[in-house]
This record gives sequence, C-alpha cells and structure tokens, in this order.
Amino acid sequence: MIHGIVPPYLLARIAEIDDERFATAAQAARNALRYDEPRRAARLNFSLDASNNLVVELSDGPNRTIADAENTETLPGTVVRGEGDEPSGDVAVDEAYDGLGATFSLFSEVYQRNSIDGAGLPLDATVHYGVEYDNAFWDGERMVFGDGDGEIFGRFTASLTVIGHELTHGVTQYSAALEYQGQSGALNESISDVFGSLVEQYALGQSTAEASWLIGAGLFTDEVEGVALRSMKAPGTAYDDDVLGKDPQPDNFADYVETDDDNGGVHINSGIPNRAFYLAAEALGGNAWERAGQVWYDTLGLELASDSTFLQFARATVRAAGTRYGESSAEVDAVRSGWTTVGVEMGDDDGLTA
Amino acid sequence: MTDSRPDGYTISVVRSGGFAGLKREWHVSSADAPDVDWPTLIDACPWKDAAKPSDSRARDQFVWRVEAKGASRTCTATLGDGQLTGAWKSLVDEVRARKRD
Repeated sequence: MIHGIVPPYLLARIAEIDDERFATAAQAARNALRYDEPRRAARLNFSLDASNNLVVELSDGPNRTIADAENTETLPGTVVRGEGDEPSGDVAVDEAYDGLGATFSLFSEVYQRNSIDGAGLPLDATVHYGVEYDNAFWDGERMVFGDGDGEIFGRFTASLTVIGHELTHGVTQYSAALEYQGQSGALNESISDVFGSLVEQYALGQSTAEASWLIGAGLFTDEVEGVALRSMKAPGTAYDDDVLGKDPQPDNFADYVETDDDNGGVHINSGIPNRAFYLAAEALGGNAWERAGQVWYDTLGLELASDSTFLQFARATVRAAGTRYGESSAEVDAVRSGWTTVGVEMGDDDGLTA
Repeated sequence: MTDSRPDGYTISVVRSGGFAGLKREWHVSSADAPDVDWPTLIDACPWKDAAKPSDSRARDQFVWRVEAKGASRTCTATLGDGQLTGAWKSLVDEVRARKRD
C-alpha cells in the first residue's frame, strides 16, 4: 500500500514531466501510479489528515468479471457483472462477485498477495454452468459454479468456503503447484480448504474458537442428513445420510485411504492435513488467519516438490514457522504438535534440522 | 441380471471427485435395456486412445471410470470431465438414464 497526499490527477501530471530537473519526481509519480506495470485494478481511498491535507491511499483491488453459462457447459459464457458494477439481482452472480472480493481481501490484506498470481491477475468466474450441475471447479483459468440438482445440492456459490477454495486452487497453481494425485493432491485440496475456511472466518471476524471449520455448509438441501461436505475440526463427521452414506474422511494418517478414484482420494485424504491445520490453530488461539494461516501461506512459498508427501509438507510448515516466529516459538510447537496428533511423525528430523 | 449373449454387455460408470468428493455409480446390463444398441455405442468410444486424466490444471473436476464387460472382452477407461464428450458422453448418458444407481 502506498500512502500519499498527492491526488492521482496531479500524480499523472508529474509522471508525464519530461524535464531532467524533475526526473526523480516523475519516476516517483510513475511508481505511485504503477505506470510500469500492466493495467490492473487498484483501490483509491481519500481522506483528510490532522492538518487538513488530502490523503490518497492507493491499494491493490480486485478485478472481477462474472459470466453466466446460461445452463450450458460452454465457457466462459456471457459477461453479466464486471468490477464496480451494481449487483445484478441474480443471487449466484452476486454471491460469486462478493465471494471473490472476500477471498481477494484475505490474501491482499493479511498476506499482502495481490490476487491469484501475486500480480493482480483478474478474477474470472462463471455461474449457472450446465444443467443441475453438482459441482464447482477451477479449470486452470477461472472458477466455475453449478446450480446443483435441487434434490441433494443447491447452488455451489451458497458457501463462501467454496469460492475461497476454488480461488485458492489458483493461488496454489501459481505457487506450490502440487501435483493433483495421491498425497500431494490431498495437500493441494487441503490448502484450498484451509484458505477457503479462513476466507469465511476473516469475512465474519470469527476466532478459531468461534469458527465452524466446515467446508460447504449450506450446500446440501434439507433432504440430506448433513451439515456440510467436510469438517476440518472433525473429519468424517460432516454427513451421515441414507443416500450419500457417511463422510469418508479419515482424521489420522494411519487411516489414509488408498484408492484409484478421485485422483487417489484427494478429497478424502485431505481430512488429515485439514485437521493438522485446525489443531495448530486451536493451540495458538485467536484468529486462525494470523499465525497458523501465515505459516501455511509462507509454506506455499518454500518451493515444495510437486510430489510432496504429507511428511515433507509437515516439515516445510515447521520450517516456515521457525523462520517467521523463531525455532523456539509457540508457533513451531503448535504446528509440530498438530501433525503429530494426526499421525504424521517428524521425529528428530523435522523441518528445523533438515 | 447379466447378459450372457455373445454381444451382451454389462456397463458400469463410476463418477468420483468433484468438489464434494462424492462417489456415484451407475450400472446397466444390455439385457435390461434391449432397445438400446449397446455394441454400437461401446464401439464408438475410443477406448485405446483414452488417457488417464493427468497433468491438466483443472481442479475439483469429476473423474469418470467407464467399464464395458462383454463375453469376449472388457474395455475400461478413466476420463476427466472435460474428456466426457462425443461418443463417451453418449454412452455415459445412456447408462445414467437407466437410473440404476
């Protein structure tokens, strides 16, 4: 964020000065306006300081575009709401727009990451995809949301955790790039659940103790015996239904599910690292996006192997905690303890000694 | 019931993955739906060319496993949601239309 007392129209004038005497000022103005970077969204906030000077704050802002597939499976669909547009009146469109904004806010305000790629990448989403489509996904470039079948699932934009989850797949794609198979795939999924939940907690101002730690609450219709699709706090307890069966997520590495389905059970085994994160956050207390979330975010920047195992990732989280908070810190203890409780044993060879 | 005729098939479709990670299965025996030309639907699918969904950047998409078991051969394929088009979609839609979960 850049703070200044020069309004943007004056900055623009200064930036265009072609006079050696003012070269430094012109460059400073260009920097402030980010002339050297591709066009991207920004937020300008105006206020007066104690001396009645106009204060201009320039901060990163989202650049959202929501399209409507009109119940086809053709992407991207028709653009129905762009950045700054008034609400459309279509609940899925407006939930997607607001959800992308909430997700952008978490990454920007808490972790100083400007959008998915850290460089202001536009946030594109499509709603009303397919007919009675029971899914939401990230296609490598955009988030896509179905309306649900109306019998088991309602619309997939109904939970902020889903929108945060999908956008985080983009963040992971541009940072850790974990292969979507087996353990690394389950880690990829878990990272999306972690930040999907944190988006909701940050938006609602919920502490670790207050948060539901549920993923996809409100997606099921009233016909389903279940509160959500996954529980980070208690994997395996989100639903137990005559038609759907019981939530199959394990909460301990000893119960890791080997399967050929779902890219090696990426949505099942994610319960194990999900719970490790919850336990670390619980041990630290307060707001989960602050310390536990910061450690997980830092871990994404540690050049993880694309085929990382749970153990390798666990060591990386301990290393990230040690780097930011010190090797003898409550954060390191909380993170290490979380992994130990879910059966990922680091022994003496943890991230700090590796 | 199974279809033991020379051109009879038992066809299974398993959908896994998706954001919810819920698995759903549909099965049909060609004997249960004799009005459908199953051999033609099955032969139209490029089984040998079907690759496992691999390094796509897509996440949370459905994964489809299709199996057609006949008297003399068994064909299997694993497809990403984006690969479920053309002959694959025709076959899978027909199996799902039988509503035998």
